[in-house]
Amino acid sequence: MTDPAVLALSAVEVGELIATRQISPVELTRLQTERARRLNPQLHAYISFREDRALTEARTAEAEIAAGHHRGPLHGVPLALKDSLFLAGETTTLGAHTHRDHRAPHDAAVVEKLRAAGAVIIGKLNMHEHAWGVSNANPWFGTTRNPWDPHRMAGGSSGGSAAATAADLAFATLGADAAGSIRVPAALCGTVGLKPTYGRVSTHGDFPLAWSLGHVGPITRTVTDAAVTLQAIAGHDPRDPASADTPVPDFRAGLESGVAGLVIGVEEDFLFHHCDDRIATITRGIIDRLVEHGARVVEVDLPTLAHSEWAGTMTSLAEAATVHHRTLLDHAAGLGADVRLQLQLGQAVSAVDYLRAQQLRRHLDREFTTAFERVDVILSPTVPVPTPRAGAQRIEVNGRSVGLGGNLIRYCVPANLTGHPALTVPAGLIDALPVGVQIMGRAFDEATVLRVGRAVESLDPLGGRRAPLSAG
Amino acid sequence: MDTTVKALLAARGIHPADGETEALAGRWHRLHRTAPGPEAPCGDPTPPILVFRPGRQP
Repeated sequence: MTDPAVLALSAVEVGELIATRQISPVELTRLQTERARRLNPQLHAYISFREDRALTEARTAEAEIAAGHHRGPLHGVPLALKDSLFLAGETTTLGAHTHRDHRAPHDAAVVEKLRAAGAVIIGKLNMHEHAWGVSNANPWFGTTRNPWDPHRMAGGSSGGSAAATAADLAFATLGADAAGSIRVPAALCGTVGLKPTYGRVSTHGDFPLAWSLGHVGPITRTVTDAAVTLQAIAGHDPRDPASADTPVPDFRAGLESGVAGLVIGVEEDFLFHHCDDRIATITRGIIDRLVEHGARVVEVDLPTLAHSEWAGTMTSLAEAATVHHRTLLDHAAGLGADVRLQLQLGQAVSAVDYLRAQQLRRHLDREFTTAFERVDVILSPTVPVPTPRAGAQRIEVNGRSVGLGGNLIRYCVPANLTGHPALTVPAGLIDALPVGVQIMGRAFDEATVLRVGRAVESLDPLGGRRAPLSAG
Repeated sequence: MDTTVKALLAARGIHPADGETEALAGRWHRLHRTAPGPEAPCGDPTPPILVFRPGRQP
C-alpha cells in the first residue's frame, strides 16, 4: 500500500521512485485521482477526470518500466492539463459553456510530447472562461479557490493548474499564458510557473486567446520540475507558425550553478511602480540575498514599459475578438458577462490601435534585447498586490483602491509582448499567503532563468511552508 | 461615446444590452485615456509581425 504522503513529493522525486519500481504508477494514479476528486468540490481545480484512460496509460508505463524501457523522469508520473489543451477525441471546454461539448480533433503538440515522455494525464483543469480573465471565477465550472486559503483568489487564467499543483492534486500541470496566465496564478498559489520564450513550445492544439501573445508552459512545485517538464515539451513544430527551429539545451545541466558572476537587471520606474510596499521589500530582499551569493545588480532602462499595458490590452482584445468572432455573433448569451464584454470591446478596436500596439511591441523588444546585452536576467515582483479575496473587483495597494485585472497582470504582460522567457518562483509570505518573484531572461535562454530561479528556491523563502490544503 | 461604441458594434451585428453598452463605454474611455501620446516611440513603420511574404506564409 503506497503512503499518501508520496503525493507531496516533487515530480522528479516520485519519478525516481517509479523508475526504481518502489512505487507502482497504477497505484499512484489511483491515489492521485482519489485525492483530486475528494478535494475538487472545495477547490474547483478540475473540470474533468479521465481515470480509466489514465489507468491504461499508467499500466502501459508500468509494463514498459518493468521491461527495462524507461522513457525519462516523467515516465508514469500523474500530470494534468489546462482545459484549453487538446486531447484527441476528448472534451476540451476552454472553461466555457459554449464549448462544453467541444471534442478535440487531435492531441495538442505538448500532449504528444508528454505521451512520448510516458506521463500519465489524469484530467483537465479549470480556467477562466476562454482564458479571458485573471480571477478564475468561472460561472460554469466553479470559482477556483486558493489552497493557501479557500477564501482567496487562485488567480488565472490557468488557476486550476496552479491550485492543483499547490494542493498536490497533480505532480505538475500545464497552463497557457497570453498575459500572465501561468505566472499570476502560480505566484498566488505559491508554485513555480514558467512562460517559455515565444516559439520554444508549440502552441499547436492549444485553443488560443491571442495567438501572438500566447505560450504554453509548466506550473510545478519545484524549479527542477519546471526544467524537466519544459525539456519534455520544448522543440520545433512546423504545425505552429511561430515555432522556432532552435536547439533545445539540457535545462537541468546548469541548474545548481548558483548566481556567482551573474548580472541581475533591476528596472525601477515600471516594475516596482504602484507595488505593495511589502512585496517590493520581499523582492529587494531576494535580490540582496542573490548579491550575497555573488550576483551583481545593474539598473536597466526600459521606457516603453510605460505603454505595455495599453499595447497588451489592444493586442489581446483584437486577437481574442477575432478568434471568438463567431461565438460572439451566434452564442453571446452563452458567455459569462465579463468575457462577453471583453469580446464586444475587442470588436471596437481599430486597425490603427492594433498596429500601433505592434509598433510598440517591436520597440519594447529592442529595449529588452539591449538591456540583455548588459544583464543576464531582470528581476521584479511577479504580481504587485497581495492575494485578493475571491470575488474581489478592486484591491488595495498601499492604502489606495485600484482595479483588479490590470494590476494583477501589469508586471507579466511585457514578457508576453516581447516573447522573452519569464519564470515566477515563491519569494516570501504576506499574511501567510505566498508572493512570487519574476525572473525574465534573454530569448531562448530559459536555462539561465531557471538557474536563477533555482538559486532563489535554494534560499527557502517560504521557510518550508506549504499550502494548508496540500498533502505535505 | 456610448453611441459611438454602440454604432460600431451594431455595424458588426453585435447588440449589447443597455447595461453592457454603458460598461463598454466606460472601459473604452479608460483605454483611450491611457493611449500612447505623440511622444511615444513608433519604431519601424511596419512591424515585422504583419509583413506579408508571398509564397512563404506559414
